[in-house]
Amino acid sequence: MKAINPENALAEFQEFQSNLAKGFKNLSEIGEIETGVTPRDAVYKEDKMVLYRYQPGKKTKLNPTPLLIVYALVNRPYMADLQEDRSTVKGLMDAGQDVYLVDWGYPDQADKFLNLDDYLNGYLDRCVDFIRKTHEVDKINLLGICQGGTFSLCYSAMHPDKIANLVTMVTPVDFKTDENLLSRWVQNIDIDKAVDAMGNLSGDMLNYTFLTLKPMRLTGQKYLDMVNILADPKQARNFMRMEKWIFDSPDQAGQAYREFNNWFYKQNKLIEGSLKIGDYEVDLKKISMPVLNVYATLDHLVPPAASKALKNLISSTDYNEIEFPGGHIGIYVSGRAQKEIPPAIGKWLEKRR
Amino acid sequence: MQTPPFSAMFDQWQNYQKSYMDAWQSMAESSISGKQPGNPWTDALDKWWQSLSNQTASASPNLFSMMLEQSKTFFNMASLINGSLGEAWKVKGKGGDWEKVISKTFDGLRGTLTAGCSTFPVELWRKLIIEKFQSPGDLVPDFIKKLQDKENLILNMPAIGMSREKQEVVQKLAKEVTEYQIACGEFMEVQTKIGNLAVDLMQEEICEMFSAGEYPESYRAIYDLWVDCYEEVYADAVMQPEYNTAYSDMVNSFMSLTLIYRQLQDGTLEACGMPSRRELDTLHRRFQEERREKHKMRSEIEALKEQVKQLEAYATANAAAKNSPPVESASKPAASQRPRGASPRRAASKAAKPTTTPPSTKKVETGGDES
Repeated sequence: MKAINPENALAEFQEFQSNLAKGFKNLSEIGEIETGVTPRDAVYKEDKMVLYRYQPGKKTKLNPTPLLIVYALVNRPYMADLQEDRSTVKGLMDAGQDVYLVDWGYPDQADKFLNLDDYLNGYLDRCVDFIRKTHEVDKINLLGICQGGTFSLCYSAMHPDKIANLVTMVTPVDFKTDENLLSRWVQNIDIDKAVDAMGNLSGDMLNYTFLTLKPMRLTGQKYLDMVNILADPKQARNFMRMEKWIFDSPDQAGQAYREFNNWFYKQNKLIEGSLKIGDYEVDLKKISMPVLNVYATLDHLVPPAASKALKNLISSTDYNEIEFPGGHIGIYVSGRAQKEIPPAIGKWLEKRR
Repeated sequence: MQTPPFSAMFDQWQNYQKSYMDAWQSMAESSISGKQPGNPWTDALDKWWQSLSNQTASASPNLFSMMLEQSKTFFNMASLINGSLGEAWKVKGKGGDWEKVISKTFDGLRGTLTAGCSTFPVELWRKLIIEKFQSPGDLVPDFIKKLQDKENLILNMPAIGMSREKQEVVQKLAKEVTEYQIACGEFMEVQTKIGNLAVDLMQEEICEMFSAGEYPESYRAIYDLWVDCYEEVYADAVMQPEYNTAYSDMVNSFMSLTLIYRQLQDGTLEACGMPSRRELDTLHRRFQEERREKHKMRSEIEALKEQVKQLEAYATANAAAKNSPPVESASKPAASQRPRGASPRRAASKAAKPTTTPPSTKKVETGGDES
């Protein structure tokens, strides 16, 4: 082994610069970055919230029980339908599901007093009722993603008569597991003061928190890696699409943010059993419907232990888990996830028609 | 202006590269001799980017600038480390005390490397505050600085007279600014510690490599090693109470500062006869409460309407049964003769269930004011 000599260094530099120059060209020509690729219709609107139904096309063997995807308030739901070959929604449709999705929109300061009761027993409940009415069914299937999974758990516990099967993906249940860094950080933050000062919590501020989970990797190394893939227009486009999603962060309605952080992260009320949202006690033991809990082993935002805690907290006798060897985002966009996760969820739901 | 053809841009870059080859040679030689000239790579990147950005209206100038910035950091750091390690490698080749040279190398680099890490999270925070909030967190007003210069004497004096409240707010603002500045300083100290530990770890890793007769195979390998070392140390440090306290103190003191600043802003707005944040909050709160009431009433009305519908159906069936010739000696229709769901009790429970409207997904139903 030799030290790096000037010629090798120059060659490395030239290659890097060549990629950078090509990247400049590709970036200049990249145009609009489209996201959310599967055709869909807005079927119900209320304030900034929109309920979409993905066009089932000519499929004849659709599951008669529609599936509603509940996304988090943080970031945008098109992560579930990012691009043609990276779409959980498409995978679920291919697996015979009739898919709906709630898009919470971008709250502004006029929405700062929206609370969790408004979101769950208001918006979400009316979406569920709309779908039940449309399909003439008593119960629908619910699939919650990340914070949306926590919402789905709460909703299913408050309205068990409306949910046939519940799927949770990378969902925090126990908010105080040892390796939960976000939880550690939030314990000493004065959430009430933050909401009083800011009104809504800025999406950029949340992004700051997420970036500082792995600061040098996420703000430095990532962009050097990018230089190496920019020469390929397709990869450049994929990178930019993901980049767009990462920083497409809605502000958080202040009151809902206050409640979520205080009740879930700080007081861990969901598992302590003392959570009340609006007029409803949230008792996880009321979840007796079949539950599928999907988590990622390398998830740095929702550690597996935070999700797996669900098993012993519900009364369902039909509880299943899927462990995915990947991260919080990879579970939606990696090639392996595309092949494994949506078909597995579809199969699980089909068995419980 | 039009973007120059890609081939022209690329040629331009190649020319810059050629002209900097000589500079590289001289840098490589001088790094061995211990001199520290400027880094030709970053100069080249700068010059190239300046010429391009003058000629083009790039579609992604921010992103490209960010990539360029990272590229400069990468080459700067990697060439700096490589230049110094090269000397240790040479000593090792001659059977000398290379560990001592490496130790000296990292002592020399420590300041540069930790400076980047320690300022980074604070710098990112500062940018966020300036760009997003236009907040005093960074823009400390002059009068506050003057108050601070008086060693808190003025700040601790009791407020008096008609403008007592305003004096108190200003005093509080000055105190909060001080608290925030202290908290930022402490957070920076924690970051510096992390940086120092990362440098130690990198030194260990390099020594291990040298012992095994290995040398980082490229600039990128050096950079990646540095990132790995930093992230490993950082991941451990951020789980510790010391980091947690420093981080939360910085955030909490910023929020306290913002709260008091908003109070001042509101006072000014009200004095000008303009709506303040406080007023808007009152309106928004009332508005939201009324919307909740509206939804609650709407759902109660829907339930009642359904109940009435069911009762009407029951009454109609009941009347029809009375008017029709008796088949059996019964004064009221048997349960089996009632229309499905027509009992009063069932009508009430069914009211909460969906009606059987034919499926429709093309027409968008709306349920709120902004739809």
